[in-house]
Amino acid sequence: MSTKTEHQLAQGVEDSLGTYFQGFKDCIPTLLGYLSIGFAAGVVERTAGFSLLEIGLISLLLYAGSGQFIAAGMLAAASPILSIIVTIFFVNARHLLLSAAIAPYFKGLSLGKSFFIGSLLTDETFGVAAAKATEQKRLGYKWMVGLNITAYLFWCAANVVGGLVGDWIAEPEKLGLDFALPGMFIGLLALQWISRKKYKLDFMVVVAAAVTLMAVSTILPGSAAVIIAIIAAATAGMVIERWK
Amino acid sequence: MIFSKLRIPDLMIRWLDHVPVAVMGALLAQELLITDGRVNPGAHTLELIAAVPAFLTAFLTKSLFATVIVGILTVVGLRMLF
Repeated sequence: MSTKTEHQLAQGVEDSLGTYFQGFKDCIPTLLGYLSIGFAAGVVERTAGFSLLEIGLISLLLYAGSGQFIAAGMLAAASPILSIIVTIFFVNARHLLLSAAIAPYFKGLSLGKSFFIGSLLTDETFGVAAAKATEQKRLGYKWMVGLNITAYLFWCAANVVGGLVGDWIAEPEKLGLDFALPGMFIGLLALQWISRKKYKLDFMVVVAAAVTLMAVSTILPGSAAVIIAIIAAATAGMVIERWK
Repeated sequence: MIFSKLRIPDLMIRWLDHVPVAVMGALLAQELLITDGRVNPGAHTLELIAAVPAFLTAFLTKSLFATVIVGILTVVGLRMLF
């Protein structure tokens, strides 16, 4: 009897933390971002030779903006699968930190539910969740699932639409679409730069990455050079920060 | 999930903290400085120029979308001129 009331109590607390629909509504402000980047990713994937089915699958299975740009670029350059996997692992290593940062707000959830939340977490849904977490001590599972699933499905749709439109674009270079990828990296880099406020240090990390990349590129293939440049630059950043 | 139950070593956290910037720096450098596995910034002169307004847009608007659009439009404009 007592377990039942406890269960009902827990259910009441869970419901007060938000419904699936509330999660969906809280996701809406981020959808324009998914639309633009997902659309661009779809175009790039199509021009890299992906079929519409492959575009749909990569956006559902990989579900990573920069990761999909990288996969498309590296596959078009005939990079080995292992270097694509390793590169994307490093690009998305930040998810270790994102998940760890919101995990305390979901304490006590089953392993399966934690896995479900963590595996669909994005920069944007993390941002929305982190903002919510400043107002309340716990985040609702249903709310988070509503938030995550909305972003997930919208992302896939935007990719497929981009792929459809990509078919109509005969010469993507004429439209400057080959600059979508460096443009996106510029944007992501600048956003990191602004929010971290470690301007000098981050600048040195970027310089370290570029210099290492150029040096290593002369002896190793591009994908390996990228990984070595990332490790060297992150290490340089850590050492400079400690040393100061 | 796993890391919420373990304590990540302090040094690892500090290292991971720099990974996103390092990744973007390395990927951007590969896009703009390397051609066919060789260091060749000259092959990307127009793109390197277009990177400047793209960066400025990113800092002014904080919008990924606006950054990409301004970069693309600059590249298209430059290619029409040169």
